[in-house]
Amino acid sequence: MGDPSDRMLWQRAGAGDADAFGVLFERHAKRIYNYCFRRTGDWALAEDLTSATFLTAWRTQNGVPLRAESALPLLYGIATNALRNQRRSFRRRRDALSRLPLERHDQPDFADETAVRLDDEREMRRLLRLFGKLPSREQDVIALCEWSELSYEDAALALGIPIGTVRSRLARGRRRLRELAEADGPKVEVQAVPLRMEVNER
Amino acid sequence: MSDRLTPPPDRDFPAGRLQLRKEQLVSQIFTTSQTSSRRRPRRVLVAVAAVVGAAVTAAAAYGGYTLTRPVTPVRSIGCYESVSLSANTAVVSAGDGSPVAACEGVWSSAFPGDEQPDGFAACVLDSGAIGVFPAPAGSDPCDKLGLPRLAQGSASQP
Repeated sequence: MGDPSDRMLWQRAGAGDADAFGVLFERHAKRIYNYCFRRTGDWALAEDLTSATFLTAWRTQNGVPLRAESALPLLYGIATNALRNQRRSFRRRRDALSRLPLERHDQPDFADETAVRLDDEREMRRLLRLFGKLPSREQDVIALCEWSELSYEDAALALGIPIGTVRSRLARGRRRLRELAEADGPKVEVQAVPLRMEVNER
Repeated sequence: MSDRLTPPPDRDFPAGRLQLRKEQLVSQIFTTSQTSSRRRPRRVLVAVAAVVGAAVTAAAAYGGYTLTRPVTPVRSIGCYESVSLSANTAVVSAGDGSPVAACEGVWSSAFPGDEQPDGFAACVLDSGAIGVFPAPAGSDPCDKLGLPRLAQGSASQP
């Protein structure tokens, strides 16, 4: 017998089964964590947002059956809203942080991974500076379909928009991102975007 | 990673953090909901007790007040045009006669054009004043308005 489906776990969690909720968290937290990181460029914030996403999912959807077999579209949708809501305050905080020295005392203890994660953050923030020039609706579909490898159908569910809209926004966003990258400087290797398109459209 | 358009690869939660976050969430969600469901009846009981206590205190205070307040003679009477507390009202001096007689005497001048009712009934208003209402045969306006009827021969109210 295989692992219980998300739908089953969600139902059991709604009936008060804490273990079922724990299994759902363990199953999907990593994907939401990485999604939040790619939208913020901040691992510590991504960790907080991951918890907030699951908590919000519970508070707003408890007792409501999942619309998909997987809980991921629901979680990505909530995470996207959480990111949007905190973006304003995050911008203020980021602006304040950018004026401080790079040492972060509130950073979780990443042990040996610290250097790698700091590199990730630097890399991601550089990418987000370019990415942030896209309209937010195009950012959402690229972050979901390209960076999180969500299917068009699941991305449509997550964002509450038709699949056709996901496709058109994705196409526009990719084109615009390539143009932005080309205008940004000679070091950019723009061919990586079409390669990812092929992977996703299989 | 040389490509500036491809984000860094997936990373796991830092060691120990996944378990910690999971425990915090489960504790926050399930302990809170159990605690709140246990506490809700207690909060309701406290609220009910407070309301009951306030009601008992108010009733005792009102009872004490009505038993001990000085008797004030009725100086005026409200003559109502119809069986409604919001009807047009003529205020007349109580005089020595009965409230019903006082209203009967002024009715035609107070409400010209209205047909004089067959009868009247005097009721005690919530304020303690006397209101006189038209009382067609077989009807009891005091009862209809939820007011006590003025005792026969009473010309003053406590």
